[in-house]
Amino acid sequence: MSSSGRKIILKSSDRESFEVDEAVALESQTIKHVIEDDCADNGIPLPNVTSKILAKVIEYCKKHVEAPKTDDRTAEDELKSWDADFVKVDRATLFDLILAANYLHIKGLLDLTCQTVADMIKGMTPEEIRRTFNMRDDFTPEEEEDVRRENQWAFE
Amino acid sequence: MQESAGMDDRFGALSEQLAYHILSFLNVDDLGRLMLVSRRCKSLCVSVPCLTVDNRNYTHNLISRQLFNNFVDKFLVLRANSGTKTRHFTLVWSFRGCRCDLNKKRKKGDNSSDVEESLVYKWLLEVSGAGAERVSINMVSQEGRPNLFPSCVLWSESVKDLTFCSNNCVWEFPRSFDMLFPSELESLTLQSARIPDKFFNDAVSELCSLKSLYLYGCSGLKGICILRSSLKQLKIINEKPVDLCHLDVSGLKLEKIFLTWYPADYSRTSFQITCPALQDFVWYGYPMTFYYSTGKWKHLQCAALYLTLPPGSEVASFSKHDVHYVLPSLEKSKFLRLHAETIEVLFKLGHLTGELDAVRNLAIDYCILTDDQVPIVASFLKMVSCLETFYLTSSPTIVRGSCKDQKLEVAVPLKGYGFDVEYWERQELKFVDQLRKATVEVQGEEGNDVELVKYILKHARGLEYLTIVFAPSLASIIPEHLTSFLKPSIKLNFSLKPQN
Repeated sequence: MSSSGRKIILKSSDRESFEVDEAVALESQTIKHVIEDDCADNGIPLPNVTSKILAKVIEYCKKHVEAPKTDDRTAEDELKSWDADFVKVDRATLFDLILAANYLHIKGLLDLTCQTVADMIKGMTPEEIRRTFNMRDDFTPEEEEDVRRENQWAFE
Repeated sequence: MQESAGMDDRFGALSEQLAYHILSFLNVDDLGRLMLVSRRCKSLCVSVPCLTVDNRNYTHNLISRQLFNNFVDKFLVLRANSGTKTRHFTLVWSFRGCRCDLNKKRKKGDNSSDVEESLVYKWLLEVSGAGAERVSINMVSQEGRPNLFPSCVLWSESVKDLTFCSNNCVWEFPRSFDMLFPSELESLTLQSARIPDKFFNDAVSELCSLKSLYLYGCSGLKGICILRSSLKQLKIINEKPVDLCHLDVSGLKLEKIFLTWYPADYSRTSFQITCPALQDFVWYGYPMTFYYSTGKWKHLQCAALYLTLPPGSEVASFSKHDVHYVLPSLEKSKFLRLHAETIEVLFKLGHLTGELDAVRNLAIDYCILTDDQVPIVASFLKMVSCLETFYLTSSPTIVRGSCKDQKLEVAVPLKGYGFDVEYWERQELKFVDQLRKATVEVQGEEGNDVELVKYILKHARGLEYLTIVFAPSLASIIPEHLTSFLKPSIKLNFSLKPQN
């Protein structure tokens, strides 16, 4: 169906404006509440989201709003494949998307991005996880030895 | 690896809530490795409220099974000692292969399989007793043994939601749950369970807080008799033919019933509903004797009937079934969706009588307006008079208006058609009087369906939106052909139906 609703203006933290269909904006529960409270007339400021990330978020919402809600397997698979490509981004962007999805309350996007990070962690050794996510090993040698002993099986 | 050079510890900067969300997608073995990364990671793994224990990667030999089981046991103890409440617990467990040798008789002392079973049930008992709210269990039993129902979960004061997937293993229900306290369970989902017991019905009625009961792909039962007065939602879904032939559902609070039920022996069936508060009713199945409570379903909002004939059977063989009550029961519904075959069956059995004057939104699916179908559809349309929206398509209607159905055969373009606009005018139909929105699928530039569209355009005075659905091959013909009938007040939309 052709879009026949209002347009909503979203303003990123770096002062760029994005015009979207209301249906697309409503994918965000946060924005939905603003619209329902009738505060959306002059555009909605989103101080926590940069234009780069907002553009990505809007892309996600547009795709998911247009997706037919059906039991059709092929449509589902296509969407999953699109989602998989959508999250092929650098790690910094991925974490920015997690924060944006959380702030804007877009459940589907939050689940997708968190699942992506989880999938990276799966199967990695502790050292690999540290390197991938730049985490510091702050265990004392004794603590490290303790935990390692408990989890010895994990290295079989 | 290059990207993380110079990148801050973004994971470490996440709030606890977001970190937990990521961890909720991990299995316990990954948590075991993540725990070794840093102090914060260890603390997160030990305290994450959502936990999944999945043993399927560790079942290939007894040693790896034992190592894994020991780790999980210690991990759960660590969590319990830290005061962690596992709010959502997911257990995916295969008991296959946990016995060393199935051929040997079980010696005393050869109890490795019992040890594993008791361990797993111990975890369930502990988790249920320590504040779990949602428990999901997916089990494959040992060969030749049934899956035991974890009664301990029902005794829990905190578990509100239980899902049990039995992977088609026979599922043993205890004779009675021996409830010490009233069960707090509000939602019970059973999947792929073979339930041989007739005790199922009694058992379910002991769950006095149960609001939702979902049975997916469950087999074995011949009769389900639900007299639970606390139930609000009931879903019984079986895509394949099942042994179930008697269904008796009764509940003062039941609001939603979703039923996909194709009895293997459809000559001996009974179906009875006593639910005066019903709001949503969806029934996919075969025509059969159907009784509902006296007094209309006053609160009915949405109803869908996909009653189709079993393969190889004829309408005549259903004449002895009293399907008479089906349509009248839906009288008060505002949203009605019907399979075209259902209308045909009811027509041939002489049950298309009465009025459905509460219906405002009507969808007729799987409908192709051949010369045979037109009088049937016209007959049905006489029953509705106050429609606001109308859909007529050859596949299930989808909200957004574009149709994709792989299973449908390609419709042969109809050569010649017998029912023109004047035919529809002669029927003195009232369904167009208040019509605001319509979606009709056409198979070609001419045909009964196009004539129906012309009729609607001519007589639906309040029409605001009209969507025409057609195959892409007709894209050059249809829009031009129909715009000549348009009025400026109507917004015309064209939607393509992808070919198989």
